[in-house]
Amino acid sequence: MIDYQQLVNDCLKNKPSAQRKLYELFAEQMLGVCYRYTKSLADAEDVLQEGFVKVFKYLHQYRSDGELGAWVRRIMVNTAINYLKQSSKYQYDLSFTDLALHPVSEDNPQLSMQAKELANLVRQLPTGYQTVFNMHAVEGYTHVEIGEILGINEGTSRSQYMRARNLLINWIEKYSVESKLGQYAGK
Amino acid sequence: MPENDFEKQVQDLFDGLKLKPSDNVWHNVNDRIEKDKKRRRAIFWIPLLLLLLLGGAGAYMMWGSGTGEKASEEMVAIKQTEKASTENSNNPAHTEQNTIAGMDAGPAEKQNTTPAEITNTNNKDGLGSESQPVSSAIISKQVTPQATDKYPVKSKPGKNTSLPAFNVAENNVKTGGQKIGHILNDTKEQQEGYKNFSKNITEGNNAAKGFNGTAVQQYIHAQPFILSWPDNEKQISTSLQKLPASTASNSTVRLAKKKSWEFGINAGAGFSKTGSGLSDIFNKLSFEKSTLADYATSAPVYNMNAGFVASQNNVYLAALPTSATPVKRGLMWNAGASVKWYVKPRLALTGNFQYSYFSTSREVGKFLSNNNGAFAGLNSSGRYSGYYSGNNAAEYKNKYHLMELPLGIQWQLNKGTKLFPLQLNSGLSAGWLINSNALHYDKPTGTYYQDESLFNKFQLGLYAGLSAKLFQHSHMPLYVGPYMQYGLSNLVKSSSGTQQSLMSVGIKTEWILWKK
Repeated sequence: MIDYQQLVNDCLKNKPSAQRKLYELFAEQMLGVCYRYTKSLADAEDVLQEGFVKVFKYLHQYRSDGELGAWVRRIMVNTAINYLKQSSKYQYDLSFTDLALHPVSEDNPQLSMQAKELANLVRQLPTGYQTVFNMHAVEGYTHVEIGEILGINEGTSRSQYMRARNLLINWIEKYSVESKLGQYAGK
Repeated sequence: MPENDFEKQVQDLFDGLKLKPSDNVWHNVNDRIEKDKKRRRAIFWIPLLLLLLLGGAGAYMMWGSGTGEKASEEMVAIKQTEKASTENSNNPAHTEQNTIAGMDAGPAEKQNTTPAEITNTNNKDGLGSESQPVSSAIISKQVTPQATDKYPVKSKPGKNTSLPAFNVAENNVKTGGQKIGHILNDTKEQQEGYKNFSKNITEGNNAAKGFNGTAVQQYIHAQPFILSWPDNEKQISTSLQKLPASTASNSTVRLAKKKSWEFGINAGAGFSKTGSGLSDIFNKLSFEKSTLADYATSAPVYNMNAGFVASQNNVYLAALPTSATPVKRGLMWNAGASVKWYVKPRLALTGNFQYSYFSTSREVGKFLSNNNGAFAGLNSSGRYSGYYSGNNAAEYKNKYHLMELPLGIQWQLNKGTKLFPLQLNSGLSAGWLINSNALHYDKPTGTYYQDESLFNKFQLGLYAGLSAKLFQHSHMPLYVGPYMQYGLSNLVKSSSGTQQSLMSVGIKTEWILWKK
């Protein structure tokens, strides 16, 4: 059982071993978070690095009554969003104009895929959709909060999310069919 | 399937999404952390270095600077009197001649202004018939009537004209404190000439009288104006009186008018101490050379029987100490209002009215009694709190509350152009002790007690400090710097003449809120 408070205290005392331990505890999980928000693993690692620097910088602000993992994750998400806003290659793509989409089904398919496969599908969404989807579906932000963070209307966030969701479901269905076909072909 | 099932599935799936980052990530994070640590350490040392730098700069300015500063402070401003304008109202012919340059026009000017003897034909107002050397920068024939009528002639470096920096004919000439460019490039002889002329004006010789008579006023400024080429190159041959009424009426030319009053609030904090010498403030502990009770003409006599205090007075006595416990430093702070009057641009008289809190502490024993019956022979108006020094020593805080009126001078040590202005502050502080709970030590009984009447209420102190003027171009600049005060008055009424002074060291800030 890890004593998180002790770990935090040691980190605050600038003990390198404690800092390394905290990093190792959360690095893999947080890279998963960063991965979902970015388009490449290199970018995800950049965000992860920046996020951990912030974690250690603001660790004194962490209050022991909250879960450390959630606190770290929130920093990673904020860092990722700032990264998207500041990075020139994402800036253009992080537009919230509606794209012409093909009609998609409203079904809720069972997800018979691995997390990384789903993450790859999410990453194929336009960056605006991807960001809103991640923030609402995974992180649980409300559309009001998303609107405030991204500087868009609540309605825009809502419509972006619905479109992202429909698009994703459509892709998942296609993926499932192809996967089954692949299985059949394999047999 | 409910709609939010999809989100839940996504959440669950992504919770398990873990990817192993490359080793570079941790190395980079670690490097950044290390850099951050170094930066924090640097930040920690910066204030100390700054303080040392300030101290060094202040010391250098005090003892290392030459005499050039005084000359460099001078500036000339011109004011035309109504009288001059009236008397010269009938001389329009002089319009062309009487352009006064308070400042240099640039390198080209010197070359293109031929030395000429210009005779003052209308010298009726005390200029004197004697011609005085003057630079061609002062007198120019090249100002067109149009320019004279309306606009000051503006100089452009390198242009082939004699260009005064301002024209008397213009009412609202602004010169500011422009730096004269080529004085730095001139020869030593030329610079000597400038200084001589500047000196002449300052000392009120003929030329100066002439200028004074025509309402030429001198102000302190950062650079001397070039008013003369050396040795008879030019003669003063004209004056402001010759200005025609059309150009001189109503004209009051003011240069760099400074607001001479500043009002603000001040606050300071640090630590204080009582002691017999200034060095005591830096000692963590100091022993009173003479206990405060020694001044009492009749030492208190305690009621005791064979080493034990009489129980009827509820005073208990343990082993008697032979001397008082040392006095430790305590916190000090003050706050109040301040006013400043600039006698000269870099010299100001300052006054404050402030509340000051001083404190010291010392270890005493536990409380015995506030019954003064235990101590026969002392002034009955005093409130006596008996203590003894024993094993269960407790810290007691002596507090002093004063209203103070520090009056002094503030002298700006540097020009403040490259570095922010540094000021040396010094003066006397008259204070009135409003209240104190400080304990006096009674050697015969080994007890400490309170008696406010034994303090000198009037406290005169000497203070000195160094302050840096921050946000100097703001309307509300801030002065911050170290500060020290030493009490000249004896803190207690002592018949033995032993000095016990209240002293303090700290940081003082002053925030200017209003200028007039």
